[in-house]
Amino acid sequence: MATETEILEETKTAIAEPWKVLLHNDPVNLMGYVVLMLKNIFGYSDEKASEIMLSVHKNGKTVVWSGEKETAEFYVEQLHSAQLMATIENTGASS
Amino acid sequence: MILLSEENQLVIDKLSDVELRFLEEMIGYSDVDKSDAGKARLYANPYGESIKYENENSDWEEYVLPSIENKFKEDRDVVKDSLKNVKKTTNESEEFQYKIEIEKGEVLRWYSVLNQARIRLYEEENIPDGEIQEVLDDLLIDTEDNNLNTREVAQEQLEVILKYEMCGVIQDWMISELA
Repeated sequence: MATETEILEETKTAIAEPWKVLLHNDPVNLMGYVVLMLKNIFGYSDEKASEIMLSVHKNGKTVVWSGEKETAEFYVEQLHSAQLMATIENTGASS
Repeated sequence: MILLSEENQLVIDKLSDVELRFLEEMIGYSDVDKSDAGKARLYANPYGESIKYENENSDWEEYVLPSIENKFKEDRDVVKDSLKNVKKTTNESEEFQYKIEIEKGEVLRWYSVLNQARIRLYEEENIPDGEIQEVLDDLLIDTEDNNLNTREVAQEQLEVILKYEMCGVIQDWMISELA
């Protein structure tokens, strides 16, 4: 049986684990559009948005944001509404 | 086709009969709800299949997805409506005589609709990735083949790619005007 200290440690780890929003490469969306949407949705600078777009293009997918679950869900909805391929994941044990 | 930027609107001017037909057909084709492949791409669940996200998946299907589907439908409805206002020059002898005016506030709706059409076309047809010139050259040769079936297939595929590319050019221009 786990001790109280161990349980608290596990709980803290689960809470602290950030949710990640990943943007996936796709052959249809235009590069300029992806940059524009990253700027509009996340408020990223032109430079940062371009850097992310190129990373997605090169690596197939890239984490574009991480943090609290509700905000991550909001962002992934915005990306899907813009017809961009995005997924959300949490590396912690439970949600 | 000429693409013009004016103070409050973007203008697709000097469209030929064929270019207008391509654009109208692509807008008609943009309804991804009629395409399983299109739906699978546009309405994919962002949490994946893992049982770990069972609750999130359920919320996505119940609350988020309908609003996204509704947004895409609204975009299609607005753009289809605005196609009713295509202007035609009175000079019948002109080859390029159609003009479409798009208010700047509606450019992203147009982008959305052309994108829905391109996504559906990409998922359903054999659209080549990357450099297409070689593919187009091969298709052009096949359109003059002695075999009727080869000619018909090549003409059909050529038209699909030209529609896809034409919409891509218009979208690229729209984004450059908005950026």
